[in-house]
Amino acid sequence: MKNIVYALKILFRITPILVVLLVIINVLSAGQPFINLIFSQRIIDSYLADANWDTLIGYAIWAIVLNAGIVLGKALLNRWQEILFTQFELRFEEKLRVHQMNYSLEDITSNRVQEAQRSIEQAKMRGFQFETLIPRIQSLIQGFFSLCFAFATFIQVFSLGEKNAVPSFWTGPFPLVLILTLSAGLSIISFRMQAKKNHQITKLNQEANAANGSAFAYMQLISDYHFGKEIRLYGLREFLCNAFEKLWSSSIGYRLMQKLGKEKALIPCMTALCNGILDLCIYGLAIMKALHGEISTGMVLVYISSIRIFTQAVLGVVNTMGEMLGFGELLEPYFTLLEIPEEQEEQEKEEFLPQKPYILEVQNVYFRYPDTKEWVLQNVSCTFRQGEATAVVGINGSGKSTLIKLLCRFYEPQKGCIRLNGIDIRHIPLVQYRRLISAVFQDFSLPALSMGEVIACNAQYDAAKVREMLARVGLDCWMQDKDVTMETALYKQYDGAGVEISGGEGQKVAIARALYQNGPCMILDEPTAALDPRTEAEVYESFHRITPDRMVIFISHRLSSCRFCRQILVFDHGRLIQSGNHKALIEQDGMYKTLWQAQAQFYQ
Amino acid sequence: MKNNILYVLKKTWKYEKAILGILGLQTLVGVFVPWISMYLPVVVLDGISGQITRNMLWFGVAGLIVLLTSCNIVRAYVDASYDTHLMNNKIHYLADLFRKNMELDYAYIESKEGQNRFQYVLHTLTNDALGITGMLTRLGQLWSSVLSIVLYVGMVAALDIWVVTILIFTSVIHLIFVNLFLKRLHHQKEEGVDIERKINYLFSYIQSEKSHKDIKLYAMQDWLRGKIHALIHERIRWAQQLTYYNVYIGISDTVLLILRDALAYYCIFQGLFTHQLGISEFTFYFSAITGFSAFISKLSTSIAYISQRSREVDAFREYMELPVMKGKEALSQDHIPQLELQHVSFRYHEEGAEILKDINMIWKPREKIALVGENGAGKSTLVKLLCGLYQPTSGKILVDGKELAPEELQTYFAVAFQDIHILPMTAAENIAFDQMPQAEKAVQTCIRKVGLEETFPDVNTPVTKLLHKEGKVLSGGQEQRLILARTLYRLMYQGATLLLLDEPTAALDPLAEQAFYRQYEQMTEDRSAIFISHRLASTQFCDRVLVLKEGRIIEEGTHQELLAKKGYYEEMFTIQSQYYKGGTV
Repeated sequence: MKNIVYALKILFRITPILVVLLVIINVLSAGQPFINLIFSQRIIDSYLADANWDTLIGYAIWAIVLNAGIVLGKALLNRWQEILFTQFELRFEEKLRVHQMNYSLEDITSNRVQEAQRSIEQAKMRGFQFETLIPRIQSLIQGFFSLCFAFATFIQVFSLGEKNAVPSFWTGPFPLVLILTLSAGLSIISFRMQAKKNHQITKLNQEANAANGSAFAYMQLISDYHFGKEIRLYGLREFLCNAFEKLWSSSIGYRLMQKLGKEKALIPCMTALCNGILDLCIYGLAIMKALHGEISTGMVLVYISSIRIFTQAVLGVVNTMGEMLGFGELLEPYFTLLEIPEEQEEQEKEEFLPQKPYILEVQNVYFRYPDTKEWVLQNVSCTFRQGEATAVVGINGSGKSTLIKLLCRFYEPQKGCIRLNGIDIRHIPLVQYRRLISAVFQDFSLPALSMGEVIACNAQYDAAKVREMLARVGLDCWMQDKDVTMETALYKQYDGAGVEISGGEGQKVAIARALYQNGPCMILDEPTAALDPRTEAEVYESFHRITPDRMVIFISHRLSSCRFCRQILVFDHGRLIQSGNHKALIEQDGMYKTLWQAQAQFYQ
Repeated sequence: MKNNILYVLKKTWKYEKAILGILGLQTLVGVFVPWISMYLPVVVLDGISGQITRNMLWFGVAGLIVLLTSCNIVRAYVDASYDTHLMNNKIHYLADLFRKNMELDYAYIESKEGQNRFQYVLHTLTNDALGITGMLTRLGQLWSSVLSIVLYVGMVAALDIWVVTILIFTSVIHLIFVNLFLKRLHHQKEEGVDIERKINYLFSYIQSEKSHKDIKLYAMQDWLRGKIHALIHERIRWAQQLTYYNVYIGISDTVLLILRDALAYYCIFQGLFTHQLGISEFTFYFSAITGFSAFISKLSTSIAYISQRSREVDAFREYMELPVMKGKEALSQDHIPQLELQHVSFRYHEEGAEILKDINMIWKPREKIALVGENGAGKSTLVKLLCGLYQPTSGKILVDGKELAPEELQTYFAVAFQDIHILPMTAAENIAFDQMPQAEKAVQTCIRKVGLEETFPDVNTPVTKLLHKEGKVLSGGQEQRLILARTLYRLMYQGATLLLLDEPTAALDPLAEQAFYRQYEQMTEDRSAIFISHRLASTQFCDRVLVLKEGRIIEEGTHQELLAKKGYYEEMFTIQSQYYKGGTV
């Protein structure tokens, strides 16, 4: 329930006018059927009272005018409502996504967030989104006003009842009260049942979603065209498609859906039955009243219709409310995501602006990832100085990339600390600290926007500077050949006219970006893995040239990068086991020598 | 549109018959319920005014209400269980789509057009409100509207032929209007689809796990947020333009409503005053005429909706009818062919640049070739041509002197590409796919050979967390080894004799790389192999080196020969090896 209230608050905050519009539109919708109802009654009764043509025409004209007015009014208001609806949809989505963009790295990789994101995606495919709430609210509002109008109508009818009726059980308010009580009773029963059902349905829904979600995620995988190579070469077509169909029709997904269908059908069927029972009662009552002369012929239909509308509205409102309670659970992942805090944003502080020369010290750092037991880094201590190039080497899994993540403050060490010019980096405002670092990660990503913007990470960029960086990584010739400018988009997902770039070209762009951003600390994690020898040498040259003003940290499996590094750090299973320059390390009989020889042997 | 409806119905008969039953019920109920609702007041009024006996009154009312209630209960049940059947149905179509996608020419599905089409059809299939599923949800309403209209026309015709004529006339005009507006709407919609795509791309980019580090480090938040904000603004403006059409339709609706109702009142009053009609008939015909307009309006929205869905079904059918390659033949067992490329050139599309120019090469059995060259020289393209994923734009690829169909060519190859794809299945299934469980022993051998026995003591451990919560998440190096095991399996146990490796050691540390080269020698003992790598050390293990530059083979020979030539290769090798030799850099 609190989710629904929360959702309404959000709706009101983002597009308050929408709420007002919804009310007005639904008041009109609720009132519409009553126009014909009331005017039919007037017409019938006037006719029976031998009215003339003109009177009847008068009523007819009123009815037409009012109806037309409502239809036109609704059309205009609906148009407005649609725009606001779209606005709400988009602004809410924006709010949600931007919020997630600002999560800490720890949060965004956590299971909790991944699951919530997945639930939302799956629900979307079944047609459920956050804004699906709005039509339900509309039904509620319309139902409520129908209720009110109906009530007003039959109370009026009642008070206009003929006084010279034959008194009997059927005249007077008693039977009506009975019916209303019956209606209330049925509604309560229905509501109770729905509440119980909701819980079952939500549980089934979640299980079904989990099973479906897997099927759909699997589906994303096999429809990735890159995978198409293996699919053809290994002849995997039947294997994968059969697995897909099996995944669906296997125990969980399929049977759950069947069960779900039957459970979901219960409440609507019950509602239909209740309405039927009430209809019998209402019709019976109205007929008896008419036969006993209490209400006129024209009134009969009004009476019947208004009570019917009333009872149906009651049941309808109750059902919608019950449904919405169920919704509350479906909305849960949205609120899970909204409640997770963003990375702290502090104001920049003058006193924390480190001065040159920079020294980054890692002091006795221990680190393990959240929810894991093994230490990834143990008692690591090292120093990075401005003007020095450091190579970090070690076999896969020795903790190199993790150290980088700590240096970028994506995580914080459990023990020990990292200091910049003596200040614990946790005390420096995050955005100020990160500005000092430019990195090319092993799994870097480039948004599919224009080249200039991507390199500058901004809509405005210094074109000359961008051009220079592109030249430094050797992309200028490539750009000329392919007729690519700084306004050309990378990849084709955003702009269909973008240029498709290979892994190596992407790596060059990422390096150009790091060079453009020009932080005093440059970190490169496998920057040349996809580059040919000449470009690799150029990149090393580039960094060698800028090293005097910065600290440069290389992680690379290509030990060639070690030759010009002042300092080499050798990691093994999370510990720093050797450090020194190449000459010193090659004379020790350690891991470095082993690694070096393993690679160098092929180049002699 | 009719065609597509028939197509969908035929397929539904094959895939999920229950849906047809449900559609039938929905239609019947859709016709009965309003009809019965119209008769009820007639019976009541007749009973009260004494036109029919009391007994008939009670029987009539009770009977009709019972009928009405039953219809409503049936409809409620059917509507609720429709979802399940629609989902089952959807899965079959999806499986069809995937099968088709996997049969198509690789170059096509890789191309922008191929991708766009596929993504579009996929989107319309998965979304419940679009495509085939969307169509099926409204078909019942469409048919019941049509039938009801026919019925009502019949009934009202009994009253006055003119009324009917004018009703039909005005309705047709309305439908034409609606159609016209919708066409313009559809046209305008296409412009906005582009904005939507951009917004969706940015939305998923900022949320994705992969982009996080870069976004944070380079403080891209404000920039991206600004872009999103501007796009949303545009999108809303576009929505404002679109909704104008709804206003026009609303105005048309209103005008017609006035005409219709005025006409209805006039005729009925005439009937009343000339005593042709009684009160109950007044109610009846009035409901019929106003109900008529409700059905027309339902019909027009159903038609609009279904015609949009019909376009989506068109896209599906067109995709399913794209030409495919023929089926695969059985794997050739252990025969090592000779591959020859004669004057092979390749470009992706007619206006595109030529990626490969006049390639001539012979790949002898058991020969191990190293393919080197700069980024963009065309190595990956050449490799895809060799293994039959691309077709040459000109020139021939000969296998033992004959031209083969691509699928036949593919059966000779065991390939490991640069991009790694791990299936969310067990490690064993990732290696031997559908050969499990019989291939377990073989799989264990492969696992051992690539050094993964510690990671996978049980080869039936699931990999990745996609389908199994306890799935193992592998590091980059471990993934690369798993792929190698996959290739190994195919070489050793499935009779592939041509090995193709594209940067297989990119993510491996020096020790693992060394182990790999040793492995490689073993793997390729009795096979042919092509090795692409930027690490020129790998050329040591190859009989011949091919140097590619800007789409041409510029140098060819053994490692020693090329060093002696002092050409491009020698320059590359020197640049890379300088760091590994003694002395200063």
